[in-house]
Order: sequence, then structure tokens, then C-alpha cells
Amino acid sequence: MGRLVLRRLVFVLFVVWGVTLITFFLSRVVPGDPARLIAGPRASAAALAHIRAIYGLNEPLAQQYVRYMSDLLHGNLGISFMTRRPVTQDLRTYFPATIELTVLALILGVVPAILAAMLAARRRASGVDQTVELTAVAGVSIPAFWLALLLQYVVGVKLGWLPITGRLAAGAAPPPHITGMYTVDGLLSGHIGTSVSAFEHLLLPAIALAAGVYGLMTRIVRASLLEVTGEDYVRTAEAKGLPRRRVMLRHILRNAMLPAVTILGLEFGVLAGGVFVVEYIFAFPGIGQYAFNAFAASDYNAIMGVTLLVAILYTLTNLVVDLIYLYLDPRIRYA
Amino acid sequence: MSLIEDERGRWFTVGKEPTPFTRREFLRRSAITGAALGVGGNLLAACGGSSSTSGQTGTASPPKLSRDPETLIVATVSWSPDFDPASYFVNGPAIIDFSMYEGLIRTKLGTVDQFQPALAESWSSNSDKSVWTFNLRKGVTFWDGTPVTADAIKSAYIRTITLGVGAGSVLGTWVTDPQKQIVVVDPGTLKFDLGAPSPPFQNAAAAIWGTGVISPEVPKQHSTGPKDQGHQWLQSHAAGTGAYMLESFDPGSQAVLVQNPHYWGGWKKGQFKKVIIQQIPDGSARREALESGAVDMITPSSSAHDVQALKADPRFFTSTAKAMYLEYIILGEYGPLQKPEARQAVNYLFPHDAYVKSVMLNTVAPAHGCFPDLLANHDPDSYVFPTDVDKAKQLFAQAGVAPGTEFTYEFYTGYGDQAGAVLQAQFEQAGMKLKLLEKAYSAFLADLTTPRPVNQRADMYFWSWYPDYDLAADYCWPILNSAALPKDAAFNSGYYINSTVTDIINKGYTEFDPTKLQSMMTQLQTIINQTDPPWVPVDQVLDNTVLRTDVKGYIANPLTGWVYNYYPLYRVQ
Repeated sequence: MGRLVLRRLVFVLFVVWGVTLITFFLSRVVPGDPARLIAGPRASAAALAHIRAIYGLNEPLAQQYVRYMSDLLHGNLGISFMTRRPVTQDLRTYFPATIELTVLALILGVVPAILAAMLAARRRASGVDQTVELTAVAGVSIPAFWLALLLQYVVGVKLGWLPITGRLAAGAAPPPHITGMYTVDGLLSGHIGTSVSAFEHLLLPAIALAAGVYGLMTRIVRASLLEVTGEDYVRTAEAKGLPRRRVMLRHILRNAMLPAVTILGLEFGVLAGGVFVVEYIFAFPGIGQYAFNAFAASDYNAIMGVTLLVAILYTLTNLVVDLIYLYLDPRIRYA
Repeated sequence: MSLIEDERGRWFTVGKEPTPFTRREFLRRSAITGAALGVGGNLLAACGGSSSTSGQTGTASPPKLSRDPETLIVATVSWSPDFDPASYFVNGPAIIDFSMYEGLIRTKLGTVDQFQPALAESWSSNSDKSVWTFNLRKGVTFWDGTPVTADAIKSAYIRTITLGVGAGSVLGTWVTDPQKQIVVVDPGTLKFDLGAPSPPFQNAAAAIWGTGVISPEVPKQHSTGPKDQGHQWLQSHAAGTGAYMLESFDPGSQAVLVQNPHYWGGWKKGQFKKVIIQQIPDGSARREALESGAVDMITPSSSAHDVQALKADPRFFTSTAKAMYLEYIILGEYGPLQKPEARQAVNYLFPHDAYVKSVMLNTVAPAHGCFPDLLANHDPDSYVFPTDVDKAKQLFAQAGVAPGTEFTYEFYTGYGDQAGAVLQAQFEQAGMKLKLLEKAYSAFLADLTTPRPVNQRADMYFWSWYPDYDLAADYCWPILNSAALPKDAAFNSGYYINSTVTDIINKGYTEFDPTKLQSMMTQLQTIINQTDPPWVPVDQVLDNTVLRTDVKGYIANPLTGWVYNYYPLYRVQ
């Protein structure tokens, strides 16, 4: 396993290099003048030239790339044109926000999905099964943005139960930065009220995202459970007189989770890479909004930073999925 | 996180919602669809409904306030951090900075050509208005305690004009040698010796852009070199004299301002102790935040339906003041629109009244020519093309444009799509074709300002403009002057070359006989409104800012829409 991890980590380095190369040149080929976007339409040609000089945009591309790579090796991702802050600082702010949202969405999606799938598989072809199937289909069918609008209007505006925008109550100071996840940092630093407020702000966007995860996972886990239930080793376990619960948890569910883990890994990558639409609707300052705005604004350093982060995230997520595979099915071996 | 701002102070990630109906209508229509599909129909139908369409605007109690009444919460499309008066030149930072920085004088809110004291208590000029003298208010200090003196203001303005990071051109147009022309008479008196008659200098000195004064301690303590002079530090800190001070900011989320306890204007009961500027990009979400009581004041949604609904809601006050903003369609003086007759034809095709009333639901005002009607020297008798398809056909024929010719119309996502669709239908009636090209804002902006061969340009672009201050020449120069072409990094993107127009614009900076100036500008407007039109003037923008009815003191800023001064605002309980 150690060699696998090491090999994959070396692989990450190549991925990062490839991503920097492609993203750097592609982002600069796309039409757009960051200096104009920074200075605004009314700035003079001289001001534009000055701004290009400040950000090194007047240098030859190859020279800019060499400088960027040199800075990258020192952990410097440059300054964002949009926020005027170091990109590393932006990523430290926005990425944990999205991770927090992603984790909650996955919890809200996966836990009910597994329970519902187990219930449906156990009572196959019953009314319960059909109800679970219906909710699962609804979950995958309803677009996240539509559900987000509905939740915002009904739960936020009409019922007034939960806040509809932002990450914290207006004017509330964020907790001291430990992980960047406000719910966690609030708890760790003893700011329980902040933690609760952050959690309330997470709920609606997380539910909007969780619906799709729930639908997908329910269908996959249910199908997988039904398949595994018919396997010889399950019958053997039952014939040995093992309690039904133990058979379900240790023999059926564990093996049925293999395909689900793959999907879960992909879903984590997709969500953590930023779900712009839901973040946009809820004015949630996560990496999705940051990335979208960076691309639209030709904010080269921010684009590079986000792309690198997402590339690393995907690679590491895949590694973690492979390691979970090894745990769930010790027969699996990676060359 | 900041978005990139367009000329209207809006942000290209959002712009106008592409759907022509509101969120509620969307939900209701979705509910009907959902019911047809058997998915959640009943629940959704229950969520539909619409706001009251009756009632007098701003007369009912606002939604319940369950938060600190001494805090004003403003929801805007976006704001961006740049707290350096030498550089911020777009609305995103200005929505914060306008209450933090002051210049010598200010344009009175609600006006474009009246001025009020700020750091200067009084001011005067010599007879030919070439020398302007400002007497400073006594006892004023920057937030850091440094006294506001003539020396401090001089050094701040030298920095702004010479640093070259954006807004220096506003004063720099008149003060070309600041070291020499700005004279410290004594610690309380500052003189601008401009060397030539300059009546509009007063307008420039009162502009929002490039006139804010920073503490002299900033360049002393935070400069990383002569090209910086504290500029980088001012991207995350502020050091002004204004009523509100920057307490904290979190890009992409909110900026928090607090009262400057030593503000020279003093404080009265009800004025806000804290102002929070929140970023809520989605227009409908801003409306919902207002309706739920979460915020006090919002920049308008780009959906005309949302604006209209809030205008009719008596719990809120909607400002319908006109802004000095014109939205227009640039007509390229090349390709099929090269001849004036062809550009006149397009003007005859655009249905101004129907667009304002039926498409924009009167959330904009009709354009009265190519000048906003608030602009100095606007001709009240400006010619406005009537809608006449037959006349348009005739003019196209005169211009040698063959029937069936395909024109191109470029706009950026969410802005100009509806005007394009309206024009497309009219073109079809005239036997022509109009192809709509949608671009991302950054690509659109690059198209406008990058020189390119004729065959790579669109025939039309949807765009808007406003001047830095109330001066016709300042409005016209970057968009109509023959020296303001894309190769000059300016916005005469239709390559409009009319020597008379250029000549009048250039003279407009130095002709100060009011009668002569009016005569020149009337001549210019006759040309651009009728005989040789560079654009189709589409509409004049309205403020449409919405506030709870318990927030009082709001006066629109017609010069720079959606840039607010929070000092006059207060809450009645």
C-alpha cells in the first residue's frame, strides 16, 4: 500500500505540471484584457499600461510562465486581480467553505440513501421499495438550482426558518481561522453561536445539493445490495446461522458499497470542485463562485490556483477511493 | 471575491437574468410543469403567488426587523476591495469607498451640477476661472489622527495624478503639473492655478473618482516604492476622513463599515452606527433578502419584473430617479452600416416606446437622443427617430444594403439580449437578418477595445456610458471622438469618424461661453441624433434602488448610479 501511495503522489506532481502548462497558456489565449477589467472601462491607455506592468502582464508569455513556476515552487500562487489578495489566501478562504458544504451535502445525501436502499432491498417490490424508488428518481431528476430556488423561497422567505444567503449572519465575525470551516472552527475556538449560525447557513444549499446525491446513491446501493444478496457467500453466512443484521452489515453492505464508493468519490470531486449555481443562488462564497468569476474575469492567477487545487483534489480523491477499495475488498491488488 | 464590473456598475456573471419572468413566476410555472409530470406539483403550486400589485409605494410597515436597528445592511450585486482613491474607477469599490473618502467638495446628491462643501468649507475662483482657491474646514483629522491640511491634500492629489493606476485622469485632465499647479497658500488654504480658464474644474473636483484624500501617513509608512506609494496596502486597508471607517471585509461576502466618531459632520440619533455591504449576486435573492427583513436596501434586480413588483410593494420605497446613464446600440461605421442612411434605417427600426413599456416595463426611461437628458447642454428638442419600417427599408435601399443582408449584433451575457431580440424581429420585418452574438463580458470588452479587421467586427454592440462628471465633452470624448478608437484603448468602438463632431468635442473642453457652448453642443446633437447617427439610443437608466420604508434620508446619486453615501441615511422606529 505504501508503494501505491508513493507512486500516486509522484503522479500528482506530473499532473500538476501538466495542468500548469495547459492552463497557463490556454487562459491567456482566450480573449480578454485583465488590465482593462481591473481598471474599468474609463481608464486611460497609460493607466492600463501601468497596471500591466504591475502584474507582469507585459512580459513575454514564456517569461511569465517561468516566473509563475518559480513562484509556485516557493508556494506563491500570485495575486488575484479580483480580490487583490494572494491566491493562496483566497483558496484558504473559499475552499474550506465549499468542503464544509460538500461534506454536509454528502452526509445529508448518503446516510438517508443507504438506509433507504437497505429498506428497499429488504422489501423488494413492496410499496416501500416503490416509494424509495420514487424519491430516488425525484432526487436525481430535480435540478439542484431549481430545488435551491424553491428551498430559498419556501423555507427561507415564506417560513423564515433558515437564512437564505451568505455563510454567516450579517456582521458576524468569522471564527479564528483553524480549518477555515466555520462550523468546525467555531466549535474548536469555543464560539458555539458562530458555529450554529454557520451550520444554519449551510443547510439549505447542502440540502439542494444532497438531493441529487441521495437519488444516485439510493439507486446504486439498492441495485448493488440486491446483487450481493444473491451471492454464495451471503447464503453461506445465512446457512451458518449468523444473525441477519450481521449478515447485512458485514457481508452484504460492505460488498455492496464498492460501486457506491466510486460514485461517492466522483461526487465528492464534483461538489468540492465547486457547485457554482447553488453557491451563486445562496450567495455562498465558495470555490465554485470564485472559480467562475476568475474564469470570466481572466483572473489568470486565480484560474491557475483553482485549476491546480481541483486537479490535486481529484487525484487525491481517486487515491483515497482506491485505498477504500483495498479495505472493503482485500482481494483487490493494484499493479 | 469581486466580480468584474461593467459600465453600468453591474457584474458580468449576473447581468440581467436571462429569464423574462420572475423567480416566483418561474416557480409557479415549474409547479405547473411538475404537476403535469407528477413530481411535487401540489407543493410547488402552494409556493407560487405574486406580490401585491396594488398599494402606494413606500407607505406600509416594512417586514419585521429582528436584528440590530442601528446597523444598515445593503445587498449589492457585488463589491470589490480597492480602497485606494488613486485607482478605484468602477462602482464595485466605490459602493464602499464613497462613504470613507472625501475630497474638497462634493456633488450634491440628487443633482449633477450643484456642489456642497466637504473638506473645503468654502471655495472661489478668479474671474476667468483659471485659479481656484479652497478654504479648508478647520479641525478635521484623518481616521489615524493626522490633521487635514493643505499640504496633506496636495500630497494626496499629487499621488493620485502621478501614480497612474486608474482614476488620476479625472483631476489630471485639468492639473497637468500638480507639483507646480497645486499651491499651498497656508495650512488652511489650497490653490489650484490651472493656467487657463477652467470652469469645469469645479465639476472634476467634486467627482466621485480620483478626488478622495488619503492620509499622508500611508505613503510614508506603507510604500514599497515610488510606483506603489501605499497602493498595495490600500487594497486591504483604508485611511480617509469620511463618515464611515472600514472595520473589516471578506471578499465575496461582506464589508463592514463603522461610524467615524470624530466625523466633522457629527452624528444624530437614528443614523447608522454600522453599515454592512453584502454581496448577493442573484437579483431575486436580493429581493427575497429584502422581503424577509434580512437586508435594508438593495441594488436593483436586473429583472424588470422584480423591479416592478417591489415598486408596487408598499412595504418598500423604490427610487425612480433618473441616472445619467444611457444604454445604446453602437452602429459600426463599416460594412453594411457604413453610410449614415443605413444607420438611420436601424434607428427607424428600433421600437423605442414598445421596448420601454412592454419589454422593460417602464423600469427604464425613454432615451431623448444620444445625450442623457441630465447632461449639461442636452438639447430638449433632440430628434428621436419614430418607428417606421417602410422608411427603414427605403433608407437601406438608398445606402445600397441589399434585402436579406445579415447583420451581427453582439452583447455580453445577460445584458442587451432583450434589445437584440426586439431589433431582430424588426430587421425581419424590414427584410433583413440580424444574428445575435453572445459573449462573456471579458471577451466582449476585448472585442470593443481591440483593433481588428472589419470582417472580424460585429455590426452592432449593446453598450452604455456615463460621464465622470457633468460635462458634455467628457461624456462624448471616449465614445465619439475620432481619437478614441479601439487602437487608442477607448470606446469609440463603432469607428465613428465625423470631423465636425470631433472638433466640437475637443472645443467643448475649452469653450466656456455658455451660449456658444450650447450652440455647439446642439449642433453636435443634431448630427448624432439625426443626420449621422453613431448609435441607436435605447434608454436612460433609472436608479431603482429599493429600501425598507423605515430607512429614510435616501437621495439617489444620478451621476454614478448605485454608489451610495450612507451618511444621510437613518432609521425611524
